[in-house]
Amino acid sequence: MNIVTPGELISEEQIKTNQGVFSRHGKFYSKFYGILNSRNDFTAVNALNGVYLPKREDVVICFVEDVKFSGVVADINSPYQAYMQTKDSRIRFEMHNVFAATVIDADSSQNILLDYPEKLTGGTVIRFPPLKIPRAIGRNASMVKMIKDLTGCKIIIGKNGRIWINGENQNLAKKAFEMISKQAHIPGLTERVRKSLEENNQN
Amino acid sequence: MILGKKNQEKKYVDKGKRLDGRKTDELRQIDIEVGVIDQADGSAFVQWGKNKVYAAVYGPKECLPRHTQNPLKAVLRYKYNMAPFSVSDRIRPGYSRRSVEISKVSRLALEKTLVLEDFPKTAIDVFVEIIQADAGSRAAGITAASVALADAGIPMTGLVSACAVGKAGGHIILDMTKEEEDAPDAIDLPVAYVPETGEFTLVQMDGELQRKDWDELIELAVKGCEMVGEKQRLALKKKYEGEVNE
Repeated sequence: MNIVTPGELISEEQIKTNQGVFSRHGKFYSKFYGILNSRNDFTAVNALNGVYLPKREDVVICFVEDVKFSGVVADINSPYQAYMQTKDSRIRFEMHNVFAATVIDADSSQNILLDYPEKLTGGTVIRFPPLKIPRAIGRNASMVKMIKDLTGCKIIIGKNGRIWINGENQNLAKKAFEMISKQAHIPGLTERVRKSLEENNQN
Repeated sequence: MILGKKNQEKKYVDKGKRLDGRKTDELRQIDIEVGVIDQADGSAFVQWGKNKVYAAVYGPKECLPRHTQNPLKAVLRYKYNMAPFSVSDRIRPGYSRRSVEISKVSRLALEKTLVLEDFPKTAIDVFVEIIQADAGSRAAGITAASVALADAGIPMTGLVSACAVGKAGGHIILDMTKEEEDAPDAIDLPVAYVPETGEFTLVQMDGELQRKDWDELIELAVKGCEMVGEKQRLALKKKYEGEVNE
């Protein structure tokens, strides 16, 4: 694992770059405090910490912050508020309701629109570092599938750093996600989480 | 009391050693710890000689009141504050003329390297608390804040390192202590510098200086900032290396 700091020289020669890298006078430098990743000829720096910035088609877990005549203002755990247009908003939603929705538009001035709401009742919402969400999902959703199987919980992962868990073994699932958040940068995570869950299940 | 030249030399630098035993181009002991405040998005603690400084970063977050928002980039807000017990005489808590000035120059020193355009309409709050002060607290504050901003995942083009150089008893010295700063002919020159790009983001001066000393002072300041920058990078790398070895 190669940790880089902001402004650190990555390459003096021309390289194909992805996120987290900038060039100055033909040399390439890191833009973040993060992990250097080289895959398929592309070099990127994945930041270790940061806030959630919405992208189109992200599934997010939202809290209702305000109910308007023609829609709902939602807190999406980002510096920006989101808006969802709905019919009968005052009948369907109340303050502090929790729902999952999809981002249908996020422009450069960060006007965020949501749609396809699914109201979530019961269960708990936990916070998770937004930049580590891909680790919580795993390759082809392997991690979240495994946690669902071993705990028997219903789980919805929001890309905005919120995870909704419902089921009898909520605490077990919570512990698993805490472990992922702490060890997201260390390889071999899925196996370690599986072991820990199986040990807990036996107890 | 005006000291004779011989007495001054004897007092502040004797046989190449200063009052606290350091060489003229040596920094005080610097320890940097990253991620010390759980509630903050990024944080750092710097112990620089007798200076003890905490820096915490919150954000990017919604910028309120809304008229302070910038639709094109994030707004950086920096607050430098000294604890009432940080110096030998109690200081009045809250804003003072000095803290407002230091907050402003430190903000400008850090703003240069941040890529604020990535977060339009937001605010980034930086709080720097001086728990114990012994000269050079603004340099320690900028050093800590830069590390805390990196820890918070804010995109940057480089880390800002700061240190003070000066003159006491006719000698050009790096990183002055309070005792050296109180010399009758003292010059204090805090500098913030980005080692990666070679840019100066802060140069202040207190005292009277001759033109011939300027180049030597700046050269020494760059050397000091590069040493500080190395410590900042090591501290950031250490945070995650420790966990891997566990």
